[in-house]
Amino acid sequence: MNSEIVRHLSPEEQELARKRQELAILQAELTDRELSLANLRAELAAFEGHYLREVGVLYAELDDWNAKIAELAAEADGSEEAKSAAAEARGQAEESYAAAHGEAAKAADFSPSPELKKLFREVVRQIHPDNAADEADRKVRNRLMAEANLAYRRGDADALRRILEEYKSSPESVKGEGVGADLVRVLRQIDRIVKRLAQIEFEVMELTSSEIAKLMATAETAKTKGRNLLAEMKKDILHRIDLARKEFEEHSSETRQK
Amino acid sequence: MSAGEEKQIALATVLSSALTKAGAKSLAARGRSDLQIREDADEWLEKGLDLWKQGNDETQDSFESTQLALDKQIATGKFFSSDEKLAFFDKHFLRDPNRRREEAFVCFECGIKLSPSHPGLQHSLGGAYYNGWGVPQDPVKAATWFRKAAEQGHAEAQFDLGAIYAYTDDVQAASWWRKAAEQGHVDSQRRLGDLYVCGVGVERDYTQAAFWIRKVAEQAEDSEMRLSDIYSQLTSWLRVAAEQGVVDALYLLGWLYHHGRHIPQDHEQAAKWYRMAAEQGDADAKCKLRLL
Repeated sequence: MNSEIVRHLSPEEQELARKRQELAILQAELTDRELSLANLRAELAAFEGHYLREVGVLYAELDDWNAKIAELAAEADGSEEAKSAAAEARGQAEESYAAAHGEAAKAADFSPSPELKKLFREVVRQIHPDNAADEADRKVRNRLMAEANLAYRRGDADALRRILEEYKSSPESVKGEGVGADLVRVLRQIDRIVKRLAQIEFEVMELTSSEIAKLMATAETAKTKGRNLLAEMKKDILHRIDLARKEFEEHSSETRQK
Repeated sequence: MSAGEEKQIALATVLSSALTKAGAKSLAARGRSDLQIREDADEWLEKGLDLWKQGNDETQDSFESTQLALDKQIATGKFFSSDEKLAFFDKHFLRDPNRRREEAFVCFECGIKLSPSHPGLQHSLGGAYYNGWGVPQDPVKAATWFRKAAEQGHAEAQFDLGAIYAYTDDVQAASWWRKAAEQGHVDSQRRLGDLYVCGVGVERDYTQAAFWIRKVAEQAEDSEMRLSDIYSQLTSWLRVAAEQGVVDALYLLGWLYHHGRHIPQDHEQAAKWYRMAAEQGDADAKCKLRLL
């Protein structure tokens, strides 16, 4: 007969086991959701950068020509109305220029390798702040997670590996035990994760309803039909720039003749 | 700073700064609104083209029913002089009986108001003025609209503009047909080839002629319809060009014998010309030789 004593779990221990199971499921879900959120953000930022560099700059150029035309008209006309129209057009041109050449336009393309995705998933699984055992642990995780997010965005696998190493060797990752304390800790973790999941859901909703996300969705649908939407937009705006330039040149030669 | 806030910051670091910035957001919104406008303009174009088609179909129906009515009267023994026949047609044959083309013109106008530089709409407006469909005929306005679309690279408009020029200025006609031909527009390729054969608007050049006509032949292989009218005057100059060793002409001559267009089908002759083209390194000719 087996000499091992069959240990009956106390109700508290049973509860802890159940909650731990629940926590494990939630943690797995959290990892998935964080990963897809990170991907969504990065894809959108990359698409936005691409869009601003390809199409945004053309809008800025078009607005500049339109402002020039309005300024010329204001000069010739001299009325307050024409002047304020010119000022408004110039303001629009400056705004478009700033947007098209700003920080967002620098976003590099995002195409994470399966390996990078796997690595980031591992980081989220191990380091997510909502899985922290205590406040001290949480602080460390917060810092590392922020670094990891940035590393993932720029496709830096080495940095992700370093972050994993750093966390493993961190003394704060050692947890204190005790059934009662554990149960409280697990319950808190569950609570935090549930809240975070709701937060993620909200952010995904916000991101997917943004203008740039809708534009990206339209571009992707068009792509399945063999159309390159951004190229079409470029062509259209280039043509409008051409017309605006001609209009400006006509006006300016008229003004000179006068 | 509370732990909650700190976490938010940590996780939000990568949130694209731009997504929340008004400027970039408005550029995206502007792109979407321009796309929507173009889509609406596309819809007006499609609607207008559908109406044209309906107008054409109904015109055809009216022609046929008039013809039928006339035949019936003749069958009862009534005599019609040719003038009377014409008068009968004038009275009973209705072009566009339901005025679809007028509706179509309104569609094109609505579309062009939304999207003034839409090449498809510009081309259709040109067509409306050219044919006098839904609007009094006006070749000058037609040419103006065709030119707008043609300058944007619209191949059909380039062809139509070339066709208008063909009455007055062969050089211009050739230049517009070339632009469309280079985009793969078959009718333009054929016209340009003809110009090179005859030396109209361009220097006579059998090499160029064979080059363009061969393109037409290659595309016409799937469409029996085009074939008959392409090769009416082809063979005489083609033989000259082939004797000069123009590779496209050798291929074309082989092709004519192969398919039996305007000359009886003759596989031996076809093989002979294909072989000569193949000897000059023509890959398609080599392919055809194997098929024979």
